[in-house]
Amino acid sequence: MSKREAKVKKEGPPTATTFLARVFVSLKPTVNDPEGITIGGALASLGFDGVRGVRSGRYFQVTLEASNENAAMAQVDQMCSRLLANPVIETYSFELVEA
Amino acid sequence: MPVDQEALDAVALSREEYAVLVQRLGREPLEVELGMFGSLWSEHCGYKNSRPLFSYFPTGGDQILTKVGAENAGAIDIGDGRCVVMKVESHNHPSAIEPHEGAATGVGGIVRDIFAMGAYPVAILDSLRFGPPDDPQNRYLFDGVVGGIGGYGNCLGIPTVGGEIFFAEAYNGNPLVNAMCVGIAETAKLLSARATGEGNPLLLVGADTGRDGIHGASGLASRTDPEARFEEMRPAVQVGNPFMEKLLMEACFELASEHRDWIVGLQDLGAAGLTSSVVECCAKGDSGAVLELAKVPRREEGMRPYEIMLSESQERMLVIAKREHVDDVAALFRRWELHCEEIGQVTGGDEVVILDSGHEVARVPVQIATDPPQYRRRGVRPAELLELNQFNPASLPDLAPADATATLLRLLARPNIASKRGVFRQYDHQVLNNTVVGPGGDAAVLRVPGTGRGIAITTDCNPRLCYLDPYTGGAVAVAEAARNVVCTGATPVAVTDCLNFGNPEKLEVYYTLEHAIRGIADACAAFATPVVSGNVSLYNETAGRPIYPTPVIGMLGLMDDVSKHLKSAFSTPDATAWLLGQPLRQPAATLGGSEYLEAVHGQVAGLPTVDLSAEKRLHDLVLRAHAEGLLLSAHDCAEGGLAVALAEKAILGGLGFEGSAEVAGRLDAALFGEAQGRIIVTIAPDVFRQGGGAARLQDLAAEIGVPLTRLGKVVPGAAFSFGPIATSIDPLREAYEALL
Amino acid sequence: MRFAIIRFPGTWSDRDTYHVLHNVLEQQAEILWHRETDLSGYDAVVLPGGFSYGDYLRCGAIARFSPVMEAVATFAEAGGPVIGICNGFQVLCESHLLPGALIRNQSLQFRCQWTYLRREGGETPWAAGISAGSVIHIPISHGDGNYYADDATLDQLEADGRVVFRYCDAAGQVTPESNPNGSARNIAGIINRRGNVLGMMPHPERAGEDLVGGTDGNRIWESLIREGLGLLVG
Repeated sequence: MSKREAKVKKEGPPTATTFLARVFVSLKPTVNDPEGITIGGALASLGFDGVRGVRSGRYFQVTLEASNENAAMAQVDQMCSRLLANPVIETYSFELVEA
Repeated sequence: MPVDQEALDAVALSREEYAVLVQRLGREPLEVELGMFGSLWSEHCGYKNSRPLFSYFPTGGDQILTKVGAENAGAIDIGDGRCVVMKVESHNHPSAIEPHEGAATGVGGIVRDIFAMGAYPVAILDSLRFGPPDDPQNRYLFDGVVGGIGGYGNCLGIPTVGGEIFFAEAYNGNPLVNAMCVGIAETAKLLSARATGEGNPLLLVGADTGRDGIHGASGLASRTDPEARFEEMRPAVQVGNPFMEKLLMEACFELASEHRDWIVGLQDLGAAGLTSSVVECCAKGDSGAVLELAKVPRREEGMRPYEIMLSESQERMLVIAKREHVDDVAALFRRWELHCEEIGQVTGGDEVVILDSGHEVARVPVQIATDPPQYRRRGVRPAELLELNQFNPASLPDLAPADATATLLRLLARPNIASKRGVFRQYDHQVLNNTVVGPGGDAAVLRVPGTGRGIAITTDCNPRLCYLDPYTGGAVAVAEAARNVVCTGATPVAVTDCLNFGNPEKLEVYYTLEHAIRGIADACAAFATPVVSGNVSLYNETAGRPIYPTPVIGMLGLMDDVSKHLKSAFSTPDATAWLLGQPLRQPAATLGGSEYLEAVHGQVAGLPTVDLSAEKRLHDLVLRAHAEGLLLSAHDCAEGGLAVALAEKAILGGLGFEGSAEVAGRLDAALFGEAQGRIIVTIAPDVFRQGGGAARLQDLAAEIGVPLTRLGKVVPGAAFSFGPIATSIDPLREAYEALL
Repeated sequence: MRFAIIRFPGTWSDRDTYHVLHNVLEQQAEILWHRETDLSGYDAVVLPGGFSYGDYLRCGAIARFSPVMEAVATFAEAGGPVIGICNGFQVLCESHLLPGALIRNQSLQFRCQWTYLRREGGETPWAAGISAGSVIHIPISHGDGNYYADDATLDQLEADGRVVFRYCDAAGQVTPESNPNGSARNIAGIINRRGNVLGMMPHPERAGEDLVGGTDGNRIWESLIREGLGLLVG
């Protein structure tokens, strides 16, 4: 299930406000992550002995307008579940700030 | 302790099957054992519904090196001490859930089957079926599958050289992703998936084991619970790692080609993971094995024995090494930067014993595990076929001559006919430097490395015909595949098949399965192309409605001199074009099941027919004429009929055509009817050839017993005319290239 | 000549390159594992195409740290001819042996197709036998072949005559339609300052025989074999 962390600095004004959503998409914990495994191996061979695991992911910045914070959260949540993440194999989280 | 229903459902065993298991074991199975038997007795691994029908297939032959079903793929001797190894396999259910990864891991699985034989994979073909592409969900599946195939195959460095794509409503929500792989091996170095030699080590190499795809075999691929299945099975999605597969492939090929004497067997881990690969190797080697799960490298913590035994983590192989060479083998894999762990050894018994840190968690008699209950049913002809078959296209108004050109353009733009260039340019079809004819022709043609020989490969199946008449549809799939191979100048030699059907427990579906198999079997016998390998995917349904019966045929053809292959396109102005086989004038009945009938009249109906002996004579004629050097090009008539085939030759060749044959009788049937057994060839104009090519072709046709019709001639420039059709190749190309 | 063909984990054009160099052009060629650290005794080095390390992170980003790359850099510094093809070009850019980067194709799709390349300027043993303005026919096969560099770098490359090949049409016209991947200024291949290191996305080793579609790729290898050696002397 998706985790949502909203960090909003102040109450949204009544008119449309511009928000910046920082969205993190990563593979679900049990899904195989070949890219993470390969990068982990490369780090080890460069001498980073302390590396215990690498999981790859993607990061998006979405600028959007919404009437308030809740509306923005709802929109971004929809964006994540419908497009930015593939709910079959990926999970996402996002944080929201007023731009 | 009586097992509860939930536990049985999880492994997809029926109460009756469970009772049989208890009776044969003489006790209740342990948890891990239940999981193992559930997988091994699934349709996917155990073929319990389909195996009894395989006896229809002709299988052996002088050139056939493997017993069907006994190895990971079939092997065909091609001379010069070399053989072709081939198989087609489905990955339908995983692709419906996650199209990109489902298709990718489908490619990965079939490629492992090929290099497990000691062969180097040289070609991939994909046979795909989707719902109509204008629906966003279908488009999503389509884009995902194409991306997944390309992403995996391109990374491996194996060319994707062919395949087909067909769209129909019947595949909404249940796409078909069948991948065929062809490899080449030195015959003397072929490997077997067998475990022999008491004390020999079992080495697990490649990826670590995670919780991927648990119950893939018993759950996804072996039952239908339409909506719930997908939600529930989502954790079963496997993510492939083509990079790891590439290293595995190279390491295994090095092992097979240079150090064959270090090992006794090689097996991939596919459906049901460690369970099926170990049990099957023991069954083949007439041996037992003991496994210590604590030695299995894992990707996740806290995995239970049950999960380890059933994990379908990709990119893993089981090597049965000779004890004295275990260090050599391990060093070879390490050089390729791969894990290699001894996880057990071969025993002299007839049981597979599973230990978890020394504690026994399963003891599985190999014989019981590999002998699932088999079901032979009496199929019932689907009631709807009666009405569909009685439909007579003669009751429809004929095509008006004035509409002929527009209809041709319309058919060329149909997703089932239009060029798939937009798809295959996303696949590397050239790597390995053997691709002589890539995707877009009748069949792909590859050079056999290190020789002057060539192979031709294709996949085919017109599912509309299989729906209307499963027997004829099955036979036509083979006939068309053979015809496509013949059009390159190659002689068809062997078949691999992937049988995609609905739920076989429904007697109507079982009927279609049985009759399609009989059609395939009769056609294979007629063309002397035995079945060397195959795969079955049942339970393909959405909302209780089965897909069209889709028995995909992969066909291999051979030619002695690859530089003399035939092309499908027009190549030479002034060449004359001839229709070989069923004549120009055709009854309306040949519109049955045609693309025209569905496009123009919105009907999928009628009764298709096929004449296998006429088809065989046609192939003989083309190969004889080609051997005499008469032919400049050859292309068969398939979806869209004669007019579409002529247009394709013109578009691909960039040359026009001037028809001279009189188009008589029903115009729609003559232009767009889909009578089987027809090939259009071009020959050099008589003035350029001593003795006259046309006269010689006519003599040969008369001798072999094939009707032929002169259609017209190839012309420089763009003008295209045939009967009432008058246009130029530019609008034809525009229509043909419009899709995708 | 004696060619070293470097095989990284995930390389796949190694065999094709070997086939063309050894079987078609009858040169000495060896495939070397990326852990090799000694390239002495070779006359030229080929970094072939493929998906080294699965193209994970960025194409070529992990391979550039392979043990052999130090030796490649030393070989190049000494003036030895080095060619990076497709993934090899990406590795050379990640290693900063060539400027710029290769990013995702503009279409966002992998592209395997024949392309026309116009020989531009630039003195290099790898293209000495191909006269400026002439057109060769060579296929591409990549998902990340979109050449990118900032305008200053591009201007400098042009000013130095280091753009060796540009995508063009059959008539040699450099047009947007003939650019298969969105590369800046249709750039298909560039050289280093000295001219001994060539990076190109198209695959000359796939155009070595008429049977597989053409022989224009051989003009690159033959340039080095026949004329390039002379250029290197001194």
